[in-house]
Amino acid sequence: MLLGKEIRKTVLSLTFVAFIIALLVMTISQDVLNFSDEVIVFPKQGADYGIQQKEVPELIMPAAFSSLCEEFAANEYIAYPIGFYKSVKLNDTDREKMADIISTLSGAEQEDGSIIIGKDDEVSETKGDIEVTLSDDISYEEFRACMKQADDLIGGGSNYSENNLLNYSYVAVTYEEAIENYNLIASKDKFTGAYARLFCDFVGIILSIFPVFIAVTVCLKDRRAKMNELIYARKTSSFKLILTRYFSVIIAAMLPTIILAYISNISVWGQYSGMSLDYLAPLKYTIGWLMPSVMISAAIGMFFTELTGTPIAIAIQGLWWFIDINVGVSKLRGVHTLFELAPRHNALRNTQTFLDEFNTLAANRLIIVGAALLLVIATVIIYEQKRRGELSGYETIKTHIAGLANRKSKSAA
Amino acid sequence: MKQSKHTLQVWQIAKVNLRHNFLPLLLLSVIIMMLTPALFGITHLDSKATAVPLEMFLSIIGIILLVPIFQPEHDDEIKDIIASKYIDSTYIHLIRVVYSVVGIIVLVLIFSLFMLLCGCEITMALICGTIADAMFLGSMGLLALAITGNLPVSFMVSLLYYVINIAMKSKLGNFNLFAMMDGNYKPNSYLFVASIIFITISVSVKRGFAKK
Repeated sequence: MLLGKEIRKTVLSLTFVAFIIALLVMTISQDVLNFSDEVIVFPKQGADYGIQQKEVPELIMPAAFSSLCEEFAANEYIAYPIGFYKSVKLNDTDREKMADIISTLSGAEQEDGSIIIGKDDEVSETKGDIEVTLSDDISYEEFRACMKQADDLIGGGSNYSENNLLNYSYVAVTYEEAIENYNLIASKDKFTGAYARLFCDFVGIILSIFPVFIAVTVCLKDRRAKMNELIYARKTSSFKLILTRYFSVIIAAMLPTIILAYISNISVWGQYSGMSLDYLAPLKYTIGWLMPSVMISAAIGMFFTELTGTPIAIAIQGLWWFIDINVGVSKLRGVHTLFELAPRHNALRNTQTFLDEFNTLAANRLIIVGAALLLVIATVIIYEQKRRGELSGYETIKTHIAGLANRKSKSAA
Repeated sequence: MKQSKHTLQVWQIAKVNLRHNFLPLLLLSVIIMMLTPALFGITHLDSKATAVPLEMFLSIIGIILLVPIFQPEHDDEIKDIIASKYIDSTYIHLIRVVYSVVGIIVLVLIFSLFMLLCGCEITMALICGTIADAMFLGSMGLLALAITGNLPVSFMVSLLYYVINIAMKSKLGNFNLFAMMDGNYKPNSYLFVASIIFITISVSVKRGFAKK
């Protein structure tokens, strides 16, 4: 009964309409509402199966070393620390350390930040003039350790970071591998899972920020309508009220998402007639992948709004979201971390990466759900305190500041 | 005499508004500004790379400073007090717009100077472009606030436009917020003009609602 009322209140708000528009704009602009043009077909022999990243030391080592030498000579290193381009110039101390690394890798001597090839031959610092070659005695493990040191000197996210080293190693997908990939999608994803995953990748960007607006609106509504005192006096417990509101926000955000996930997924069902499909994939993915992001976003919205009586939650969640989506750019192929807000997997295929990373993804989603529930409990406690008149949040701070300002002007007078 | 009384009035209104409404927003903008070098290295960047933190980070302060301009009147008590005064509320809104835009300009200038000291290539076009980006994003939310009277929705509008720019910037033509990082400065003049139009419409809409 109460849940129904709260859902109605949430859904009939302008914020919810704006949320729906945001969802539609995102899904339509990113072509994830209709996948009919992206059918996964069984590979034909002799066709081009594309290229893939594969850890091949013979490819990575010379290419990365050559790139490092070039960047060292120009003293200009390209990096993407949080997904954005950055050009780094090293100071003299770090340049010497970098020269040490190149010296270790090549066997050439270094002096004052310059590499010495022969006895009297000093390499000029002009771009592309380095002629040292990678030593044959260096093992791949040693090479990776040196590259890590180089990456640390640059400040992370450089071409020599663990992830980016793979960018030097693109190999053609063989026919056998193409079949293996196809079989993986057919057996593990049952086709529909692959589409649901790509849908979640894009929609997660919206769902990890926009529910905070809905939650803030719901919480500020009572205050604006001056209904707080009236609600405080009601018999309904704080726990029931806050939880009902919280779930009304979650349901309001998740229902249209599930509907859109099915609209998107159904667009390809006809292309796979006679094959085994997982018709529940859109539901499983939206709940498992997207709902934790919605939960934390809504929980932060409710917690900080109840605590301060202001929309500060938008700024807090906005900041986290902003950092997260930019960091996520470097993990588009489906690599996950424990504390990410919106997991990325910007590929229709790549099922093996998804399977390899599944445990980290699951742990991340559980941590996010746990944090969200803790924040909801904290919101209940704050609401209860306010109900008892023991906490008035921002109002008290504001009164104190105003009091202080008044006292100051009085003493000045 | 009349002139000095008028100046005093403007100063009094600005002072009260600055203290009660602007300071928290300015503080938040300064936090964003100070976070930028932590998130994005800003040493020895060429002009295209310099545009990245300016367009993608600094432009956000426009949302923070401009969108909530009409927010104080959402409190009925403040609205009644303002309505009871003989000074037109449009006048107060314009004062808020002016100090918010000045706030954007000052913050962008401070950050640009800091980047310049860090060895980045800063040009006048980059500075003006960043101000235009920030004003456009903020004025878009301000217009939404004037029409809907809903602050979260207004922030959503600005943020959605920001997300759209990340996702499909090449399709937005002259309204692309992040064109300077591709070396294209043309859209910024469109954005600036559009922001002035949005601010004018917003204040007019608010004036229309106040008269009703």
